[in-house]
Amino acid sequence: MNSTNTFSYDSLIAAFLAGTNDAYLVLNHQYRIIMLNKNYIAFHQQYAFSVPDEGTMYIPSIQGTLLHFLIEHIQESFVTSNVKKFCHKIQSDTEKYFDIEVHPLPDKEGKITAIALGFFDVTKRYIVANEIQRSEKLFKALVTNATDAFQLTNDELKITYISDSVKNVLGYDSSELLNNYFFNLVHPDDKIIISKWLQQILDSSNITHTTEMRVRNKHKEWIYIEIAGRNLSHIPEIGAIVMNYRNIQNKKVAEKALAMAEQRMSLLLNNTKESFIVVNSRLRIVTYNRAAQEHSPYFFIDELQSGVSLLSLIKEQEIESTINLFEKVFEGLEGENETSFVDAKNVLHLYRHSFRPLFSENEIVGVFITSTDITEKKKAELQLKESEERNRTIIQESFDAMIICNNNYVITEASPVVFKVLGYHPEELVGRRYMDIIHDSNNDEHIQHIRAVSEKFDNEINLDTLILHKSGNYVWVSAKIKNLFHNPLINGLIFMITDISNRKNAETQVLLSEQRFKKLVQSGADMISILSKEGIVQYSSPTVENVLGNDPEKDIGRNIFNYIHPNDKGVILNQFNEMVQQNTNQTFFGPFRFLNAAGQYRWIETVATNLSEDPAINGIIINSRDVTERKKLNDKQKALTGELIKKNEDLQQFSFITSHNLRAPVANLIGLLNLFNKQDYNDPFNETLLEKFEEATNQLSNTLNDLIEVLVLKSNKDTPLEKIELTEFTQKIILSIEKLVKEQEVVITTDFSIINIIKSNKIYLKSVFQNLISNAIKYRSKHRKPVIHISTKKIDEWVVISFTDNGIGIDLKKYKDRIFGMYQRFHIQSEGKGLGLYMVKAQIIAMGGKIEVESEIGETTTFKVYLKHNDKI
Amino acid sequence: MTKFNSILLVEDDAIATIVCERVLKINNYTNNIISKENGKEAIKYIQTLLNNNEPLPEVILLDINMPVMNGWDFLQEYETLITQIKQPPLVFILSSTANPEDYSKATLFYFVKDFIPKPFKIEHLKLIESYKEN
Repeated sequence: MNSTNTFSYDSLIAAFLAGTNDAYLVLNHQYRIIMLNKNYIAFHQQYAFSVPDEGTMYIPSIQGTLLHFLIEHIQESFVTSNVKKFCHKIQSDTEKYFDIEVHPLPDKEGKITAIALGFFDVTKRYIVANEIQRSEKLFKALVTNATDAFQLTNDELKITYISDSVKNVLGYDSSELLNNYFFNLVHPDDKIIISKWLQQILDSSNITHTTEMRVRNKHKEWIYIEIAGRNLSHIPEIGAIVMNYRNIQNKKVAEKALAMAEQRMSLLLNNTKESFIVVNSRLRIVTYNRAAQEHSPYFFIDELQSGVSLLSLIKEQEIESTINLFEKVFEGLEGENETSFVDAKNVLHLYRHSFRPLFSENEIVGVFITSTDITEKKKAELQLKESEERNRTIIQESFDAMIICNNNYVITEASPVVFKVLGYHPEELVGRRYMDIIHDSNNDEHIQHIRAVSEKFDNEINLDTLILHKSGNYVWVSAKIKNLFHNPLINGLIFMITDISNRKNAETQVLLSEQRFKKLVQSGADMISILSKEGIVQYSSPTVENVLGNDPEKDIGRNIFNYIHPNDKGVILNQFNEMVQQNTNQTFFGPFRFLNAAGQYRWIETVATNLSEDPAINGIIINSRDVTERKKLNDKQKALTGELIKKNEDLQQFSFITSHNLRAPVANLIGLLNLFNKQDYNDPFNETLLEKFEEATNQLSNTLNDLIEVLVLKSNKDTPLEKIELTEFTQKIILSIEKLVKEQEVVITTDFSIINIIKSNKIYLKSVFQNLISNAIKYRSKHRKPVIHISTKKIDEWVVISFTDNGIGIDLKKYKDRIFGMYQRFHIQSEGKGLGLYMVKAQIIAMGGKIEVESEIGETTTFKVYLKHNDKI
Repeated sequence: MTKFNSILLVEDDAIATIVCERVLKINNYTNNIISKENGKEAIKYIQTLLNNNEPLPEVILLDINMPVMNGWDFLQEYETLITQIKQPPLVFILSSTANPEDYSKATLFYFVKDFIPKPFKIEHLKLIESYKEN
């Protein structure tokens, strides 16, 4: 307060409450209402049933819900003397938003004895903001909103669109900022704020983030703005970050003043944009608030000061009317006037002043003057008037066709322009019924509308309809129809007809393409996403839910590369970066593995279309498809084919070997036969040949038997498993070759301590044991007595039976590939046919196992038989 | 007068050996047939001749499927010795193989003159002789 205070606080507050347009009430410690204004009562009754009155207990509740937070703030303000301001949302039929202020009111000693609560309906502000968030309609609202600047930027804050209203906020013309980086305007100390804020926006599409920062205006001053931003890059029509901001310098200044203000009371008055001036009964200025100080130059001709007469501040020509006004006020009435003032820059300022009596103990001791700047409002009114004028002119000079119909809808008059729009000369239309030139398809509805217009004077309607052009084609027109039967000049329905075929066609096309796009996006198995160049999802089609189980909304902001299988990520990432760098139009990816919502990897195939240059998309459209099932099938087929090829090769080898082994004895027989002396049967060599003949025949017979044995083994798919106790099983086998063992003094040791019982095919396993044991004896060293050790162990899912001997060993470098081959023999001192190990391997494979060999030449050989371990023994 | 001084036969099958020897002898191709049971024995024999600076047999008839060292392994070993041989023998493979790969494998050794299917017959003598004349 800038004055000596001759009034009690109570009366001053009462005056303030009466003068302000906002809802206020004042409470004491006991939460009893000391004062309240009409605005508050009106506000209160919107949300509560009770009627608040002085002296009653104030229960801060809205629609029956107690506002705990408000109670807390009130309590706190009593203690801390802090002013509080916060926003509260009320959900009724519509959402309402209120800023609520809590002002502690000190008494003369500075003790807080009361609290003033102010309620400001800020719903409109929020609705605007919400609309912005919800659709592009808000976009338009913002663009035209004069107090907020509105801009679109890319993710580097480069301004791609900015509304003209930026001039009101920062003083720049929009063209000065377009294509510049918003970042450059920000105060150095606040760059970190904007960076963090930008990151928040980029990290969470569709959510509005608000912050405050200082930016440089055209006059090179740093001013505080409140800026709200939201990432709409994923919306093709926008494809940008949407921001709106406003000048909150006053608020900031006020906040700072608040912190320093000794008197909380002054804040209450100073924080409002309305000017308050209090004069005493002699019309001398007693006190005024900050707003009054700021605004008075626009309605007073001299400097506003305490102690001076109000009359010395006003224009001479206003003095008389002002005195009359004061007289009324001192009689207890309220009054108001308006002032207009042209400043040095030739700018017009219009103010409305309201005058209210200030009571002290039932006596009027002064006047409370509230002054409101109505320049903008007046301007707007003026503009509206102007635009109406303009519209009228436009209508008069329009290129629209005009038709007037009588009450039977017969055309009585047509303007020359109908030729341009409909192809008729005016005289061709006069006398025809309007209904006859409109399209049948919308005839009925159209006529109903026209009838409705006919019912009442001044009724009017706008209709889009197809009208028959003289050429025989129908054209889309917009018809504005107005009932002017009461106008003697017209005495009929007037039709203003505009050709809108271009617009209609465009609308139809947009509709079609939208429908097509929607269908594409919403149906089918393909997922469509838009990615940034970094792989961040900007948009995902609803189908991602069907295919991957992901919520398309939550997909936004994710980096897709974090979901690609580590083994596939490198290749896909390279390919993606290459596409971005080389600006390739279309690239095929995949199949690669991608993590779905359930945490499983799915095989995905993707076609990416690079539309980074397209401002509507500004990203990469990826069209993806789950090919897991196909891939599985392919893999299965591949494995099967591989297996078949392997089997086929085996069979071919087998057939080559068997045919060789059959051919060899047959060749011997033929060779012997060729040598037989048929001329002289008594040739002594014939006898030898006959002996050899017998030998060769036996050779053939043995070969055939071997082959049959192999064939049986190969074709026998069922290998019945039975429980085998290895200790006992081995003893029996040793017993069966007892003679050989004793002859060679073979020592056989076993260790089946780890696994003694296995499940296996007894016949095969017997053959395996016999072959491996007798091999070990066959290939014994001449220098020592043969020792064979048989043992078991468990490796992964295998039971491994090892046969280790101290024999002559085998050169695995040379023979590893052939050791288990058919008819392979490596040692001269043996009687082996080269079939034993071949059979061993075939039998083990038939049981689902495998065999390995290790050896040191001259020292030892170990055969390891791997059999599938069966836990269910 | 026999056509060849000596022929080396590498063959493990006793009957095949008898047939081969008999065909060579009764047609007066040679009186000197050296028979070896496998590749290793044959290499040993050639090595000995080379060490003693004695002439090698004019013809080698080689079986493929033999124990210890088969025909292919023999050919690889023999290839390392061939530079030491002044007058390399004519090498023929003698086999009852049915695997076409064996035929193509034989062509990898330039000194293998031809592939003779078993049993060994009189016609084969003419084939061997034709290489001698060349």
